[in-house]
Amino acid sequence: MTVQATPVDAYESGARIGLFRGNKPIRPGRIVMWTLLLMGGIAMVMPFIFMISTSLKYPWEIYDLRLIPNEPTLENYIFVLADGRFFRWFLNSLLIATLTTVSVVFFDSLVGYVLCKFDFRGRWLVFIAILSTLMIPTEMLVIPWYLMSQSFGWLDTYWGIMFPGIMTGFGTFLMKQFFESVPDDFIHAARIDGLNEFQIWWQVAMPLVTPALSALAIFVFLGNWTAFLWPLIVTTDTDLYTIPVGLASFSVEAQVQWELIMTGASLATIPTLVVFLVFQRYIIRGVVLTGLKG
Amino acid sequence: MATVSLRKVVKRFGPLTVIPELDLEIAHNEFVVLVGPSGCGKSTTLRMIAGLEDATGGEIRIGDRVVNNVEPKYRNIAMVFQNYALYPHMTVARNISFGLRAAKLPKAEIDKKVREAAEILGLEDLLERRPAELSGGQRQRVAMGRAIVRDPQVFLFDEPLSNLDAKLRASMRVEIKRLHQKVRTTVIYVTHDQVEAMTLADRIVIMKQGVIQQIGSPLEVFQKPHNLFVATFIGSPAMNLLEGEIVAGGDGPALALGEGMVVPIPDRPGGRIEVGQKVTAGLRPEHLVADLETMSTLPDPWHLDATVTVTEPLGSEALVMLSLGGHEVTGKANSAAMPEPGHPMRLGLDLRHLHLFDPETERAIY
Repeated sequence: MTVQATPVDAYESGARIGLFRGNKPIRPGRIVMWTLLLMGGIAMVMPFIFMISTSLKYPWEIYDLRLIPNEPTLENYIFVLADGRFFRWFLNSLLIATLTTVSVVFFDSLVGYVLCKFDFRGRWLVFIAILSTLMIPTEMLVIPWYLMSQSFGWLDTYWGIMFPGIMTGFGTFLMKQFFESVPDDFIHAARIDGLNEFQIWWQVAMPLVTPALSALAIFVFLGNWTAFLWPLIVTTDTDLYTIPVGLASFSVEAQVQWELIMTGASLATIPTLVVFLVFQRYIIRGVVLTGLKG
Repeated sequence: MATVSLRKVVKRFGPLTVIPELDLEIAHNEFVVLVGPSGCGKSTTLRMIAGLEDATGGEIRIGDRVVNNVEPKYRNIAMVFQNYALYPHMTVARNISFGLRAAKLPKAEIDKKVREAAEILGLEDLLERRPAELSGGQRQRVAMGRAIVRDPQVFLFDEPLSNLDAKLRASMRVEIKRLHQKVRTTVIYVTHDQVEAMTLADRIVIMKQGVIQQIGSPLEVFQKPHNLFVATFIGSPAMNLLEGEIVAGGDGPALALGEGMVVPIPDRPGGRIEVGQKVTAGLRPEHLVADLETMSTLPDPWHLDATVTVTEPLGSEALVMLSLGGHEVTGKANSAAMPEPGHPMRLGLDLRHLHLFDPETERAIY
């Protein structure tokens, strides 16, 4: 049997979602809310639009604040892409962000799972110790990291850039909380089914927390893609620069090449945009579930 | 031989003793139901048999093997969980075959076993669906299918029907019973529902606070409860309990229930009653007959005056709440001859089924 929507149904459903308001006045609270949202949206989008606009301008036009250039040009893009360094920095960032993300997703979820599902002496102590690392600002850690890298000969290496981020307290905490939502009976059933503990984690528990994994992967990838301070400190070799460090190098004492910085930044946003567009529903879910902003 | 034997099994969670000491012998192919209120230790006992909890003390045997230190996967058991525990990211077929694939069985054999299980449980058309696309009853059958394909020595069921509605629960009870008849394997089944226990079990184990109160066939625990707890836990509505005293009657001891009500105590071998002894008398609602028609079928009913307070028609019969000498009791009547509330009536007591308990020890003395 098929059920056809009558005009009345359509009206009622439309009214429910606020499409048809009839003669009802729109509440003032709603107007304030929309205005605030609109202002927030503009504040968020304007720097992005301005960045694109600047990347399409000649150097003599960059201090003209008009959004649409008088003489739009792609010369900056041609220059940046023709310069082999940008491509190298792009690959460096991609490699570092990808490897770090894989590492964090693997190890943080493994540790989070163990802390959540295994009962052992000192479990809470370990968890609190991991949580307490979240309270130490990166700036405080930079000097110990540097001294450590110097001692181990990690300066100017990929490993030197990556090692502080291969496991994170935040990721462990996030994953532990998500594993709480996996009923123990799944794990017991898998134990009876004959899986070992690693297989249970990998084959049963991990697929059940895919949204959390996606959210964590996105947070970590974006964090590493945009990381600036530590890669700047640990690298002096321009071949090892990541994109943010490389872009900063366009700004030298004598001159700041804004048009090139903006062009590089515009290109650098492409992967982050792709990540956002593909995984945005997971990001939203992650933010909603964890109450954390990206 | 899939016998299961628990000898002096103890379970503690930190300072809390959940099972002080438990002895239980389960025979090959027997269907044993562990029943009791929440927190009585029945699920903990089952989980110790499964290996999901370690026993703090004692010995657990499956067949002729002590399994205390054996991992669940090597115990040759299968378990059906209360919430089914079907992996939501896998299809029905993959759920059923998951354990077999973990055991690295040949694909042809896995397919054959899955097909057979699906046939037994009527799941043939659902094999490619995911658990979210199934009804509660279908999920329950998939959970059973996952257990069947393992050909276990022992099936463990942990309140498998408690998430289903009453109608489905009744039909699944029949399916579980049919399944046991088909596969003929030892089954240990945990429930807090005494109807499930009565209908499914070969033997019922009634537990309270980690201690077994009575083990026996459904009829045995119903007709001859060892103590007050069993008497009131088994049977619905619960047994009527009245405080009284043993007095000397004309033909032997009698039971004084206050307000001048005295009923004779039929002679019964093994009774340990003395005149002057305080007792708790128990009589099930079906033995308090509130209609003349049924009363006429009893060989020698004893009559007492009571007042009907409330009636609850159930279809063919009705529950009748009565005021009996200041006590509230529940009797039964034929629906067709159901008495009117507020009316006095003569209540027929079938004293052949009278139970007497010691009020202090709560043990049956008659």
